[in-house]
Amino acid sequence: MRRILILSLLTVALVGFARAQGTGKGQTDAEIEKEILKLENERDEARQKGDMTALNRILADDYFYIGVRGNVRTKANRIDDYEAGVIKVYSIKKDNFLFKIYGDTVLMSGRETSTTEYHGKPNVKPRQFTNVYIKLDGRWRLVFHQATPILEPW
Amino acid sequence: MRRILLLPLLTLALLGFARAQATVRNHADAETEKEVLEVERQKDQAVRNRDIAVLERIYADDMAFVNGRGQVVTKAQHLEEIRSGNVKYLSSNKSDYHVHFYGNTAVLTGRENSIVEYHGKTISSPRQFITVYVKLDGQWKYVAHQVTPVADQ
Repeated sequence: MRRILILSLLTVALVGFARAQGTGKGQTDAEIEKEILKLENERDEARQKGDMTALNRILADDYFYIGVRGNVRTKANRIDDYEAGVIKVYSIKKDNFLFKIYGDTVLMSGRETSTTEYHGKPNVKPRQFTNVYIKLDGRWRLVFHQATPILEPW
Repeated sequence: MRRILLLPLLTLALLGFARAQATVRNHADAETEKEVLEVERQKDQAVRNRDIAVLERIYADDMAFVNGRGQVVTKAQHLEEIRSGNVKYLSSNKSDYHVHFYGNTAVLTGRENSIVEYHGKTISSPRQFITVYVKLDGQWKYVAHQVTPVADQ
């Protein structure tokens, strides 16, 4: 009995240490990019369908959002906005993706020309965005999003 | 003897799990926050003084900068804009800092009301920004920055 207990404790200890050491390792950059793109597609689908369960899963609890008008929103604010029907996403279009990977941090940037509506105001103009994905407890979560309208350079 | 062996194992098990949780999501202590804000202060001072050597050290080679017009600028392009005087800081005013830490990554957000001359045009309207710092080889490096002008809500 005691031998089983010792063995179980040793296993738990080793698993714990392995998890501590192994975060962000074991995946190539290409695999990480693929995983983030898949997650981003799931998030976009959830935005279109108003799927709060999926959004709750993908957005980190301390998610922070800066919109094209410089408006700052938390995760709770965004979920409330979707539930209240204040945000509407009619179509999704994104391109020019660029990924930068630093261990458990991924910076994803790109250009968005999706058609959306916020508080009755349509948004069809192209905008440049940055997403920060972080691996938390073994899962990639979106912790930050910012968008800036693209205007003619000075 | 077995009891003596059990105790360290139990401690090891608990420590292992505690580390596993803490590694992914380190709530940095006040010291780390101070460290990042100090690098941010040095960076702002270097931009104002056009101190390219300091900026070369703080900016990561692959840093991406999205300016208030949504244009993506590389490190080389940004340094050239500062060196040439196309970007001039006439006054500095930043507030509402929030720093979120995730292991070796610091996500810094805030509001800026600095007065900047950019290609001869004066920018004084408020803007919201994010700066991402990542600790690389023991140094906090500026890897990404984005600015969004604050419009009437």
